[in-house]
Amino acid sequence: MSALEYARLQFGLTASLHFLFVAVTLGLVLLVAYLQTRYVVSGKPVYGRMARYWGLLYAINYAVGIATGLVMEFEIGLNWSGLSRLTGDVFGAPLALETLIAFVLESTLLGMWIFGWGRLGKKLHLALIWGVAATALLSAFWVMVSNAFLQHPVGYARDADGTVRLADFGALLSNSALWFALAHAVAAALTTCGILMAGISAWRIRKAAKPDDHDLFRRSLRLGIHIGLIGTFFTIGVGYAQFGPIDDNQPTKLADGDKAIAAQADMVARFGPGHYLPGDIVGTSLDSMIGIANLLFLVLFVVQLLTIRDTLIRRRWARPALWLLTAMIPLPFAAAILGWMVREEGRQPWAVYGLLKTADAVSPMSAGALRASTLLFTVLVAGLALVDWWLLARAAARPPGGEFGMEEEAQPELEEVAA
Amino acid sequence: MSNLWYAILGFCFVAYFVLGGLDQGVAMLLPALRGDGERRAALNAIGPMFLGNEVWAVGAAGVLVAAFPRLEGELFGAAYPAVIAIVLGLLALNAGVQLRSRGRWRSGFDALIAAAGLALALGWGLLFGVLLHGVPLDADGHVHGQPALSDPWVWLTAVANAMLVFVHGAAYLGWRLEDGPLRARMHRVLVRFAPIAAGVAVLAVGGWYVAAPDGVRNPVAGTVLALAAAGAAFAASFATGGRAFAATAVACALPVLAAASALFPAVLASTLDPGATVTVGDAAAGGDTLRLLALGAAPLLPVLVAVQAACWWLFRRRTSLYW
Repeated sequence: MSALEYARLQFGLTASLHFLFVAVTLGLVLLVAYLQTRYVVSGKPVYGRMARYWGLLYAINYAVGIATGLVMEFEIGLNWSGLSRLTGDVFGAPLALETLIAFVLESTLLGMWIFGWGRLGKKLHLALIWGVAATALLSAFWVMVSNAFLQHPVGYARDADGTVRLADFGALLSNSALWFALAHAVAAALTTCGILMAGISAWRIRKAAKPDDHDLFRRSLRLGIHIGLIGTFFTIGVGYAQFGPIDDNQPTKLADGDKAIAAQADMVARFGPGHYLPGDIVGTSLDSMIGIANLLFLVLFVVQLLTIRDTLIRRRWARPALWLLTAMIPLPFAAAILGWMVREEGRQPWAVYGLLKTADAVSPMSAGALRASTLLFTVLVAGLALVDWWLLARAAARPPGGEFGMEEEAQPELEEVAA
Repeated sequence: MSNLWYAILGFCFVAYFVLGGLDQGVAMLLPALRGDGERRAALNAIGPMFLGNEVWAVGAAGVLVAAFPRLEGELFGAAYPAVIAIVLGLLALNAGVQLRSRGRWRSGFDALIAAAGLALALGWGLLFGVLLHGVPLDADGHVHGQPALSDPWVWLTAVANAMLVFVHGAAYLGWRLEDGPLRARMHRVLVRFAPIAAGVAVLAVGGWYVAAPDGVRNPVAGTVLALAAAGAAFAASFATGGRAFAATAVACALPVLAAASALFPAVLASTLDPGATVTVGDAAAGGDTLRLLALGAAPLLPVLVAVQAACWWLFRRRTSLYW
């Protein structure tokens, strides 16, 4: 394999693993913030228990999510110096805004939230998780601004030596490759978390959760299904809405048949000889992703109906639906990877569409150096990801109540009985 | 404008070397602690601040990518194996510290955390060394090979940084732990190793005088700052509690300023062709980008600092629980 292939493999693997964690982080933080808000407003202990149970899973997931994010930040400088050299002026600006005003703040607030249970005032503590949620969304926004520039470069001017300079920041923010894609990613994150929450709750209910915990998982199951269904609906909607802009911005990405031949001929005329069509994997990934999304929507729609009067839990004949919800957990993750394959693999052979080829963006490193770094990063990142998922499963299997060093709260129902 | 952003970059790195340095120092001390209880106590002492400390590395890398796009690629290329060690260290430290108490493999995680702390302290020190040594920048603007990494003074600089960071961790634990035998032991570690760290730092400065790389333009400023770092480390062994920690914090911060001011206005000195040397102005992004960042990002830095200060204030009391 060449240095270029190793560099692409390395970034692709890190990014794919990162997305698996980000999809959970981005969606789950909103659900935890919502649950904690209900807890603070209503004072019902069950919402506090829910916020802590799902909050612990969120924090365990975040640990490897932030680590893979760190790796990606450094990989850009390590392996893609051509990208920062020629287009860093434009592409780097939103990335810096992301790290400085979102990522750094998000992590600081999260550290305070994790250690703040039972030590900080309830309202301040609630404000912290909303701060984490807001900065997480802001982070996703700025990353997508950077990514949209790679897909469809706008708002720049070229120097005499070919270096790209920022000319119009507003154009970066109104990029037609940005807003639908961002909405698609956020909705997909909500879908992922909805299904994760529903799947874990269904598993705990099937394993006969203790009567105390039953209410927690019954509510979580319902919330997960609602959010999953709404998320899938919007993911599919804004997914289809992207076809128009993609056709305009990247004529080679999804073209087939005569249109593909025409697009290839047009690119050769503009940029010289070369192969400008992405591989078959783009079409296959797109079809698989759409298939998964439709399947998820169908299943979630049916189980949504079964949530009426908790039929899903109460009726024996509905039990297989609980099993199905748990079995479905990997599907939204697979769809997320497939979606990113379409977006990123479909951009090839360009690093910045029409501006900079991937082959010209890679650092002048030897294949041996890149093979070594790819091997080391992959072993460590994949190893930590597996350990993290195992720990998540372990934490999900534990009885709720002892998270973040919190003692079980007094049950007001019991106090009332005593009074 | 480019000098302003160079100062902001320096600020991010100083914050990382002081705050991230204490994480690395505590990580390196883990093998010296006895049993799970002591290790939990030590990690717990950095607990609420840990994530906030670590992300300064991301902040610094973000400023590097955006404000100095032509610097990051070539610097990382010139120190490729060291940067790989840094990234692996960041990965292992962040995941390890947060996951160790979740599972059964605590001793495995402890080894991973300690190795990560050492890799980070040495890796960042190597990066200092590579900067001072100069890089093989050609007229084509790319670096070719990593000769600096076989230079003994580069490695001595890395060892000096690791020693300073180690002492910094001991000073932090000697300040923040609950009163008891562990705290007293950490203080003894500080008293014993701080003079050694100061000595290694002075040796490294002497080494750079022997090597006398062409890229060092302001040897006096660099020497004064580096010796001040050594002096602060030495002084830390005579102090206790917060004062000792403040002294080691200064000792960890000054090497950043020493390396930067020794080279200024250059950032990457070429060992092949003085004309290929990259200055702050050459490395910086265009004026529009820097102005945008100055409007969009710079005003939030004080907010960030305030939030982190609030974190230290809110968790000023010693905590006994580890989540």
